[in-house]
Amino acid sequence: MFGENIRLALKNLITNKMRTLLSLLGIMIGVSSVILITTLGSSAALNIKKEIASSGMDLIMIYGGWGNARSREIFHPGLGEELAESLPGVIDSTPNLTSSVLAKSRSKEASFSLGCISPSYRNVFNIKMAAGRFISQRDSKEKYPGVVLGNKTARSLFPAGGAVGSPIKLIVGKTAYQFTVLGVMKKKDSNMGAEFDNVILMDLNYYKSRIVKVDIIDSFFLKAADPEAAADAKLEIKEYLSSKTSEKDAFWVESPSSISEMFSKVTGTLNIVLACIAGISLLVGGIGIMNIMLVSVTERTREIGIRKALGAPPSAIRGQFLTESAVLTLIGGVVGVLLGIGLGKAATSIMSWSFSLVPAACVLSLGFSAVIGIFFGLYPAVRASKLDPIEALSRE
Amino acid sequence: MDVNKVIIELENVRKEYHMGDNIVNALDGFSLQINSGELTSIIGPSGSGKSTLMNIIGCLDRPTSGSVFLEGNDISLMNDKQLSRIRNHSIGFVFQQFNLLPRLSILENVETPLMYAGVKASKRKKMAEDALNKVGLGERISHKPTELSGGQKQRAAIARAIVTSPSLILADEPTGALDTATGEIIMNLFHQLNNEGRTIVIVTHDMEVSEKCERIIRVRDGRMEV
Ligand SMILES: Nc1ncnc2c1ncn2[C@@H]1O[C@H](COP(=O)(O)OP(=O)(O)OP(=O)(O)O)[C@@H](O)[C@H]1O
Ligand SMILES: [Mg+2]
Repeated sequence: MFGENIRLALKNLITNKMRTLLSLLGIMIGVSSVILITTLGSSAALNIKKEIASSGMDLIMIYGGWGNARSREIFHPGLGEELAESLPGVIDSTPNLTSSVLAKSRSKEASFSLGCISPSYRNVFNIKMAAGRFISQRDSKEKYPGVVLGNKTARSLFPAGGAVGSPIKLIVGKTAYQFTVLGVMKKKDSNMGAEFDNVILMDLNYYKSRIVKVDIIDSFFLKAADPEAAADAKLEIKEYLSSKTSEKDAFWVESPSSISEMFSKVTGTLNIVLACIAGISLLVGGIGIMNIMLVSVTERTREIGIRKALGAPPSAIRGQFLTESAVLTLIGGVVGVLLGIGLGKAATSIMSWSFSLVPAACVLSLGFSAVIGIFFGLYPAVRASKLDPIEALSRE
Repeated sequence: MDVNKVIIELENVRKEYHMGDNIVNALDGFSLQINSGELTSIIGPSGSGKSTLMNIIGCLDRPTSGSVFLEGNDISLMNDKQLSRIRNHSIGFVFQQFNLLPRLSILENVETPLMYAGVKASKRKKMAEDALNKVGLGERISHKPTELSGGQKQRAAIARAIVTSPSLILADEPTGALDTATGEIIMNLFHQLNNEGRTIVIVTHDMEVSEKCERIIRVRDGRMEV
């Protein structure tokens, strides 16, 4: 009987192709926008994740509290390595000791910010070189007198180019120190207070053994193992450092607003939009279906009368019309899903994102479509099943 | 077959229709017994209540008062579901306007009552084909009703009425929409079915049709004329 009903339903829907299509518009638009939005949402998430790594969302910064002398137990030069070794959430680190310095090339001289860092700095900030190379571990070990210039620094000291390999003089205090330019960094937006364009970078090891003896560092930058887990790593670090000092506010640990927060904000908004669209289209689509089913029942009153005369119980008539509206909305759902996938593919390719479909959204949309069909088809179906056979048979 | 078994019994059946303030007595205290194996014709002027009577006998309608027994069961005590079961198992209808389902093929039309009886699809087809063969419509059974002549449509309708082997076949002016020659063929078919032992009630305007039946019931103003 059920198979029979499906066959009948398809037959009826095919006879009224245009009407079927129009009545399904609501469901189709609703389902396709749900699929489109979930697709865009998940594709966007995928691409944001990809970009996060390069935009430094995985950074964590540690610096001393205001007004307190930085404790030697915490802000010693090896803190970064210590944290990277003991905490699984931290994979790399660099110290960061900043001061200002007067730099002289053959033709120019100007004041710059001097950053004393370790070779890991490059990995922590994903530094890309415009020319030459970054400070290497070997440079650090052998205390090679080399520096790396920010893009602007290089431009102002070497306006004619050819910075890499050139000698450069840095004046610290009253002493002039001779260095070689190892490389020039690409332009890069500043990140968490770290600046890249107007700087000169030097190996901390060299600085503290040859220029100024330091045993307390301003701040450290750490790289979290996973951008999404930066917030967790931050907590690990706080806990670790707290165990080393009883002093309150001895340190600050910061990370860019955690990714998961951002994600939940984005997906929260998306979900609201989604719920609105789904809700409205459900209502509009459902009312459309109810309307078309009522028309169908009226048109087929005589058929219903004949079926009743042949012995169809009310349940069979009800089942026939319910199946029809469920098949109808299910078709709308399938078309909507396909349409949504197509639109999603088009939209992501325009934005040159990689395409990511949410299978659960497809399955749920289809299930939902059928439920709408049954829910909104119920009233027309019950009405059909309650028709008086004599009256129904006398209808033209 | 037990010829004297009472299949249908009406006792003082009244059917009123309310038309605004007027009350139309379509049936005005009608009593009737029909035995198994009978071929009965019901004749009477237009508006005398013949169709109303048929609808009540066929469990499509309920009387305003009085009782109707079908094979000994009081149908006034039955709900819609039980009535639909009775119509399916015990009654076969033949209408003046054929009332075939236009979107289904002839074969599917004949299968429909079997579907409601819960007969399996494979068995259904065989039974429907047998019924169609019996009424002389072995061919064109995969055609739609609109592709058939009036006589062929009525044969298909008769096949549909007999396919469940009901205890009673009710035909309301089965020849009304047919030319005389075709009408005669259809009447012959009813006689043949009656000879095979089926109980048949035919409503007609046509005296000639009626006189060929073994029993004639005359209706006037909702009553039986004696
Ligand atoms: N649904 C209805 N509402 C109101 N009056 C009705 C209804 N059905 C039938 N009647 C009236 O009941 C009476 C009997 O009608 P019925 O259809 O039984 O007559 P009939 O003998 O079959 O006539 P015909 O030979 O023209 O088919 C008529 O007066 C008719 O107008
Ligand atoms: Mg009539």
